[in-house]
Amino acid sequence: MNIAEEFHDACGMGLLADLRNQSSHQLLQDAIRALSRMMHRGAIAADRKSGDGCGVLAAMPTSFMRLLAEENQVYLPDEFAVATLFLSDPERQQDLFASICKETDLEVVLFREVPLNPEALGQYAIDRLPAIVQAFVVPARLTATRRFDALVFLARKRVEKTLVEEPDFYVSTFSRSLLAYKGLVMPDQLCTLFPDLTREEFSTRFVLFHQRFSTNTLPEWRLAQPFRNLAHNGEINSIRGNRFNAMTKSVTMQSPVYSPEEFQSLLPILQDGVSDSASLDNMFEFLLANDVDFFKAVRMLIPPARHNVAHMPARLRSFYEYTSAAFEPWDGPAAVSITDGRHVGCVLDRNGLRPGKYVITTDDRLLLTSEYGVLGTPPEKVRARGRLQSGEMIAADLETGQVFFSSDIDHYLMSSKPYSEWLTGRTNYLMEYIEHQFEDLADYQYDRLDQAQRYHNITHETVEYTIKPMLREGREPTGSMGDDRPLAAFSEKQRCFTDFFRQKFAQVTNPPIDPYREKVVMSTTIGFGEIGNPLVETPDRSRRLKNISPILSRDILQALLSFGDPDGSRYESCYRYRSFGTGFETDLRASLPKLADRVVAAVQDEGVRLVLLDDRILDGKTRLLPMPMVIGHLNQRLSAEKLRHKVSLIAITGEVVDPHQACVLLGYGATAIYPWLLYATGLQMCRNLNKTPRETRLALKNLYEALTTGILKIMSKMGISTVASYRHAALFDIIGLSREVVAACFPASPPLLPGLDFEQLEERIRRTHEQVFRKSFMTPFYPLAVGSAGRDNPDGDYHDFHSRIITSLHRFARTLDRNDYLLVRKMLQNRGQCFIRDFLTWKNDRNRIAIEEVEPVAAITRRFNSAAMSLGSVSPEVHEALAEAMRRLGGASNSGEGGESPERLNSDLNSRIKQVASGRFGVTPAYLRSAEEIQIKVAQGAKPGEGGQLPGEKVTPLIAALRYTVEGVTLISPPPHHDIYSIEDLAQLIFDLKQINPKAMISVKLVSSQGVGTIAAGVAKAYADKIIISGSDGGTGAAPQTSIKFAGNPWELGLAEANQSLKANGLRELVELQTDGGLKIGADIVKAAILGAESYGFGTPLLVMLGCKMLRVCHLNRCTVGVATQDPMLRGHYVGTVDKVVAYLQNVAEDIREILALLGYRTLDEVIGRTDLLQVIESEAARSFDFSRILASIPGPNLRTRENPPFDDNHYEKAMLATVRPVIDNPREHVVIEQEISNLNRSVGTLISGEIASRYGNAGLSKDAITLKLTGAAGQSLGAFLVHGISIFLNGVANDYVGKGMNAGRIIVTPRIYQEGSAAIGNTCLYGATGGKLFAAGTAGERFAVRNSGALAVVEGVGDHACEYMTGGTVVILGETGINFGAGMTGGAAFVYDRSKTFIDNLNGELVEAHRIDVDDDNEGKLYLKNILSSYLERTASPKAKMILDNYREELAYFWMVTPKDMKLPLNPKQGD
Amino acid sequence: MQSFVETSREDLLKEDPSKRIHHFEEIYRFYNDRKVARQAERCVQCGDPFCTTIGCPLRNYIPQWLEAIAEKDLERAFRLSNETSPFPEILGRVCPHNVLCEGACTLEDGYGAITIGPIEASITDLAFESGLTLDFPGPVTGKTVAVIGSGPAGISCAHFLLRAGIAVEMYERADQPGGLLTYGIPGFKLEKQTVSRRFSLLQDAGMKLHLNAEIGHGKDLQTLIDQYDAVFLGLGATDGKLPEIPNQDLPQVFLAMEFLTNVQRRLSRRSWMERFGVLGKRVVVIGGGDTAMDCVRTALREGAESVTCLYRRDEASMPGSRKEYLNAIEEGVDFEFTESPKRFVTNEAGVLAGVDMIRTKLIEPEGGGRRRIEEIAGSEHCVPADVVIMALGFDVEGLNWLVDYDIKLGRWGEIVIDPRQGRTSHPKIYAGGDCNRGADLVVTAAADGRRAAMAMMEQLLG
Ligand SMILES: Cc1cc2nc3c(=O)[nH]c(=O)nc-3n(C[C@H](O)[C@H](O)[C@H](O)COP(=O)(O)OP(=O)(O)OC[C@H]3O[C@@H](n4cnc5c(N)ncnc54)[C@H](O)[C@@H]3O)c2cc1C
Ligand SMILES: Cc1cc2nc3c(=O)[nH]c(=O)nc-3n(C[C@H](O)[C@H](O)[C@H](O)COP(=O)(O)O)c2cc1C
Ligand code: SF4
Ligand code: SF4
Ligand code: F3S
Repeated sequence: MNIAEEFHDACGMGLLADLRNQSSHQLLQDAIRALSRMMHRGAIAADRKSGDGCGVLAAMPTSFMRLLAEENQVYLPDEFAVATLFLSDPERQQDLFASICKETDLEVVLFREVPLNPEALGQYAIDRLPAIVQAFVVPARLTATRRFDALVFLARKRVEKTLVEEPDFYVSTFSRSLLAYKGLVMPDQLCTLFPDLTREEFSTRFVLFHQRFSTNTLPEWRLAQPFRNLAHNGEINSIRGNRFNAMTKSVTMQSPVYSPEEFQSLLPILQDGVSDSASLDNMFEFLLANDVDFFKAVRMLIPPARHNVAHMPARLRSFYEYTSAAFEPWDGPAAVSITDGRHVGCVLDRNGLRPGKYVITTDDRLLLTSEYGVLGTPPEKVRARGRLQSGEMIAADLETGQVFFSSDIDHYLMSSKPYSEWLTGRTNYLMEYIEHQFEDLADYQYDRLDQAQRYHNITHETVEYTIKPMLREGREPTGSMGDDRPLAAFSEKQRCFTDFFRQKFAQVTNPPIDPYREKVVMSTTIGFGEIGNPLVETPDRSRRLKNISPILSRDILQALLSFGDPDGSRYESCYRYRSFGTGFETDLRASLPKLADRVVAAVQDEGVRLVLLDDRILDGKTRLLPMPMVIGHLNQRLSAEKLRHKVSLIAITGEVVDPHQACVLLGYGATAIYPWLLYATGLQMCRNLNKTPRETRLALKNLYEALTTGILKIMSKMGISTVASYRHAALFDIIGLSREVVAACFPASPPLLPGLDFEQLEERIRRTHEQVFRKSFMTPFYPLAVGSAGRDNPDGDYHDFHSRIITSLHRFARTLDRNDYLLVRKMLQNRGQCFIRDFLTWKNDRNRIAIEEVEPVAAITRRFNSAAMSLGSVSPEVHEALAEAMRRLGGASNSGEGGESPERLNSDLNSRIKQVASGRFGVTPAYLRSAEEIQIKVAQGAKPGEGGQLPGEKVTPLIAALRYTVEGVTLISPPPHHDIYSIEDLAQLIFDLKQINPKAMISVKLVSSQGVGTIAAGVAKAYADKIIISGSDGGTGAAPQTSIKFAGNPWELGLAEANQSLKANGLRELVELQTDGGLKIGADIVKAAILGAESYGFGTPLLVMLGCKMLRVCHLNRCTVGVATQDPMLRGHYVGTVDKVVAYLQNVAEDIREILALLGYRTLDEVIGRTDLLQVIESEAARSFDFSRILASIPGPNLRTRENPPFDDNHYEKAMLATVRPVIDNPREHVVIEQEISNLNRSVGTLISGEIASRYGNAGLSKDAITLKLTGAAGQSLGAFLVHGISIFLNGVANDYVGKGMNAGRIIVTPRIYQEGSAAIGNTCLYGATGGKLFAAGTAGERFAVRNSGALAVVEGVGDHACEYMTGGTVVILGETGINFGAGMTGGAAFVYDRSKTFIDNLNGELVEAHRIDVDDDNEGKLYLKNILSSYLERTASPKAKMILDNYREELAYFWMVTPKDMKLPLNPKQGD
Repeated sequence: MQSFVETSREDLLKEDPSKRIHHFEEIYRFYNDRKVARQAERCVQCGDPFCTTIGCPLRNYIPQWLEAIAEKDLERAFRLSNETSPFPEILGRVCPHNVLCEGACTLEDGYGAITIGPIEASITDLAFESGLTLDFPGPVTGKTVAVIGSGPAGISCAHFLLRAGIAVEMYERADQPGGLLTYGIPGFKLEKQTVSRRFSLLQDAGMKLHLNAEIGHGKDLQTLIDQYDAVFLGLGATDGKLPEIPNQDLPQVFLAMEFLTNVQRRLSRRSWMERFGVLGKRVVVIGGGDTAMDCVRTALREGAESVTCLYRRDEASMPGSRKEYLNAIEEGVDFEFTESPKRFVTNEAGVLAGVDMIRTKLIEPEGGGRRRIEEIAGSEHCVPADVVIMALGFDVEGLNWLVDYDIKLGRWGEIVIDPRQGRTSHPKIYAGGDCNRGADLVVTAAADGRRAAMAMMEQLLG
């Protein structure tokens, strides 16, 4: 697979432009200074000098270039272009460049070697330093400017094509108007490297700048940004889909600029072997080159959310609807600075997941950056300051000096063409053509349904536990505990074909989305019809049929087909359809291409456009081609034949019953799915429960709903928000299919553990078919098999925690006798080949030694951790037992997310590992300070890419107290950490944590998945000390069943990949590796060690020792053994003891000693990473799979040996700490510190808070003990985890994460010059705050007070998603709010001053309601608000607050009070002082 | 589901002892549809359903039908329950649940197990009442199997064969079908209509039943082997054991089976023998197992003046189902433990007058294992009795004649089969139940019959 796909980018970027369009050298210098001021956002490579690259893209410094030409005695005409070339073989490549230019009517008049000063470079960069040459190019004959530009682009494409084999040849820019200087260098060294940049004559009108943070440490010169037209901070999740679509689309394009043969040489649009950002750049410049409007090009590729957004102008909606037909979003977090030479601009993704902050100065400069304060613009020079919100764009036309804000751009877009008229009559929603869905049930009835059901593996379990909940509630069911079945590829039993596919999910480099709370950005709309020529806007391109979901009902399908039926009245040739049966009798391998031939023929010869693939032809003779194979293969074949863009694939299949199965089909190219068997089964159930026609209709509708929302959920795990982008994105890992099969059907996905080939698959299909048709001898009384996907049923699939294991472990728990343990071990060792590790066995390279020589049990148990299990998901008894047991073993217990009671923190019951999860429940300074290791839970094996919910039933007074929430109220943790949208964010959080607790190790919990290696590398570069690779089979307290079964991979794969990647990047010695997920006996551990793990986590087995019987009702609070419940009655039945856990783990350690002795090694250390000590077993099954990738070994250290301290040593606050120490030692004292602050000074207040917490816990110091008076622009995380006794007064502006996790104290931000509505603080402030006070006399960014559970705050405006998931505290907003206010908010209160009367549209009313407080019966509220406002006024002197208080009676009428429904929390006026 | 937190286990109601000892009808009142649902709802729906994975020899779909009936979906429950079991309504009555499914149920420790047996019986009873039926395909395959013995093993085998469209001819030496279901297990545990209902069901499904047809003496096994596609042997083990002590051949000393069979014959209006009558007599039953319990309780119902049960070991070591022991006590049986018989005493008329017993004590053997019995010297004493019934367990009856058909027998003369298919050493002959296990249980016999049937399908149709 493409190496360039194997890393992820993030960074700091921005642009600086002179709106008067005047060139200056100062502007260049300022831009470079701004870049250097964001160094902490980039990465510093292993040699701590190279970095991952940075650069500037400047408007062509014409005069300077002329000067250079003159210096070389070359005359330049008015029209000239400059190409900056990276060369590996200068002479040859220059000649070639020159000659191709010649062919293109261009002439190279000068090759200039760009002066370089290598001292600026680290060794790594020097070793790879290319020759950098500027080619001055002029038209060979008189040419119009536009033609000249066209030729320049054409020439570049030709050159690139000719030299495609030479990766080290690279054209960084080749343009008349733009010129780039970039390289593998740190920003502060850029000018040293390129003396050009320091020359006074180098004056320019605007500069785009960028610094890269890549997950890998093998950066390349050519991958440094900016690219030719843009600089991108972010990650494109849908990249595979976009690339695929770019290819298919190009077939239909006719360029208004280039002749057909010229156009051919522009293809492929996207270069190979480049990053996702580079691909985006390719696409963008391609559109510009083909005369697509600048603004349209940007908005086509990165559109805002529209489907669920209220109050978007209809005509604007029309524009986006129109373009969406030809252009799917390049979806994912993004802040993109972009230019075409005349315009400059910046755009944010629809979800606002990257920061974009702008300042317009009084001397007409536009500065746009990731952070405030990078130029230290004096406040009196600020004309306007603000930030881009989700999906917004800002731009400037430098020729006119005009600045366009989003609204201006929108206005331009919608009025540029009569899109609405175009759409009417051409774009139709299928819904409009049907009365009632699910009224006519004819199509859902089949005789011998049971045969189809059994063939498609629809079991009693499927019906009762998957379909029934969908039928009833319209959503997929929840389960608990891990999936302990064998991998589909290893299973002896019938499994669905989609079981080979494991969902991918976002971790670290990009955030998953919350599809419920943030539905506004999601869309499942699909369209049918041809794209037309994407380069030219014509009415005809809007000829589409649309549906709001890829899941079709019979009625919708009929409606669709009515357009494709030549004899029908609605017939339009572009919908002509044909149905193909997907059956075969023998020879799976040959049958696929045969089917493909027929389809291709039909498309070519008969103009078929809708291809229906129908598997309802199953019978005694006919078997079925697995539908994913059919879709995948046709997808390949059709694009190979250049027909893909013409057709839509529609699966009429019995293989789709749950969302996972649907997503597999979509992911590989299906446009729509008609799950006939699901409906039929549903109908059957309704009949059995003799439901009325109406109930039946609703039930079937629920099925459809459930599938659709399920699809949303799965997309959102990967951070993808529209089906259009998800299609073709192939976001799955395929485990156990042969390379040939994958190549034939799913080439976009890497084949992990290559294995089953066509023959073996066919054999499986044959067996199933035989079972159903020949070997089901008895007439069944109950038609379906019971199934065993979740439950350990008789004759079902193997479960690693089957009843006998449980009872035997319990016997051992009673006797604590090793012989009883050995019985369990024996059973596990004889389970056959169910998991990857079962295929691996020892390979001795030494003679065995006496066991006495091996390190003692205690030395081994030190390496054991109890896996994170939150108090809440498990009972206090269990949580404490684990803490004590692990302490006794010298290992570490893990608090899980959800806090720990203060009295435990410095006792034997303290958990050494404290987890920080997205919910931030109970994450206080004392909590963090009590840890020896702080674990950031990015993902969990059983439900990666998802948040969690703790059912209200489990939220007892204790739990509520620990989590700072309300008893009995369900608690939601968001899918992403809202302060980790990228690696640079993670680096920031790690930095915060290392400040609050410098002694603690910081660990990051990831889940095994292809690509986790590169992510691990990035995490190491973000200064983590430990990485956990969690296996997909790990347990859980509660998770959706499809997640438990289908997301993430076994730990073996991820661990091996992570270890290899860390070593390849020379980062291994900086981080400890741990793994967990299904570990049970010594052999598991030693194998994990050999694959690279230094320490090991145990979850479920420990619970079993404490009494767990695999009841799998953890999520229902009904655990009969008092393990996973809070119910006092049930906890009364708890039989666990500390000794049981201790004995178990000691026995595991004893195994390990035995194995080490056998291998002839004395310590685990000696075998860690020694993959040569493992070999694949000899067996039929083993021979079918290729384990080489897992056992691959890479030279280098295998253990953590070094510290991994952040680049930034935070001397700033260290100095402060020294000053305040006397006060900490002697709490009666007071101290006030006054000093300047800049955006480089991050997490200010945190180091001191940690110091205080370690002495006094959360009680902290007396109220005004420490006062920090700061002026300037504060760096990120100002006052993070602030503790009682510290007050921060900032005069100026602050960046993101202000007051993150603060527990007490005050943060007061006042602008140096007050301007109503201008920005005061950045995004995601008060995230997870548990108390304290934040006043900011200005507006805040997105997600203000997300997950706030105690802080009091006043600001004068907020962005989108404010107060999301809030569970406590009070927030007052004296101004505009963004959309989706109060989503998932279950506690606390918010007051919103809504003068413009727009608030209610922005409220997400699912859980909260807004009421007026001017009414008489709410004196409490009035009084409370008044108190808060007065103290706010007193602190900030905000004119707005003053105005409101002066006319309190009248203004009160404009306030809304927002509280959770049916629960108005008692407000506490005391907080208002 | 999971309502065990609020609802507690409720056993079946029993008829008052003083009333029930006057007849042979079932003593239990089974659940009605509301009660059955309430009890079923208690089920946890375990991820590891021990009830079936460990408890039930038939691996019945217990949690599945519990959930179904809890949702008041009688048909689903009925079908699920009959899918794996040849006669759930019988097993729900006669299984020693407390050591099988209910013994294994998660809720057994501390909450009271789900009343699985009674629910199981109720489901099929209610279903049949409400007119639900089980459809058999009829003999569509053209294959026919001979089943010898009409006990549970035979019934089970026949049942599953019929479901596969294989015709069945059943040969039974007795004049009534059912084996020990009919002649062994007394009516107050298992009403005989329940058994006959199953037989008529099987006969409607196409099974031919030949009574008074003893194979071996009457009909020659070889002819069956040649005549049919396969043969199943479910011959049982009803050869009563006797202690080798003096006077044991007195006419007043019965074997349990003789006694029970005779009573059952009278009740079902068949020829019977006066000499087994116990009306107004002092009855002593020797033995402590299920059979002994059935004998004492039958004797009471037959109008014995007094009934005493003598057992060599102590109460705790009684092998049988505790439930039945308690029932017996309720009904007024005296129990004497740690008593071992030495000789039968006669009066001058040579008629039985009592039994000389000796007290025993139980010794823990060093190696662990079951405790040894040691007689306490000088503790002899005589227990007066007009009738003594010996319930000391059963051996497999002389099956040596099978050897001529090259069917291997084991140490105790039991039929040897291979554990996966239940096939004997003869390729066409299968066997199961007591004739293979020695005296065991109905449910295990049923499991054996099913296993054999499955293997035959594979062999005949596969
Ligand atoms: C008194 C008593 C009470 C019991 N109570 C219980 C109880 O409560 N629960 C429980 O689970 N178990 C109980 N059992 C045990 C249980 O009844 C047996 O384990 C079970 O019936 C064995 O079934 P089977 O089909 O193997 O043998 P049987 O039920 O003995 O059936 C064998 C049949 O084969 C017939 N037969 C034998 N040889 C031939 C031949 N040559 N030709 C033709 N026919 C032949 C016999 O006449 C008989 O009808 C009890 C047993 C007894 C004696
Ligand atoms: C009841 C339960 C609760 C869990 N809660 C958390 C949690 O809060 N945070 C977390 O990162 N992992 C959680 N996990 C997952 C475990 O930390 C661990 O990754 C997994 O259980 C290890 O696999 P194993 O159970 O097979 O040993 C939980 C697991 C269980 C069984
Ligand atoms: S057959 Fe017996 S053991 Fe099995 S469920 Fe029924 S009663 Fe329980
Ligand atoms: S073990 Fe008991 S509780 Fe669990 S499923 Fe079986 S019957 Fe229900
Ligand atoms: S699976 Fe869960 S419900 Fe209890 S028994 Fe185990 S913890």
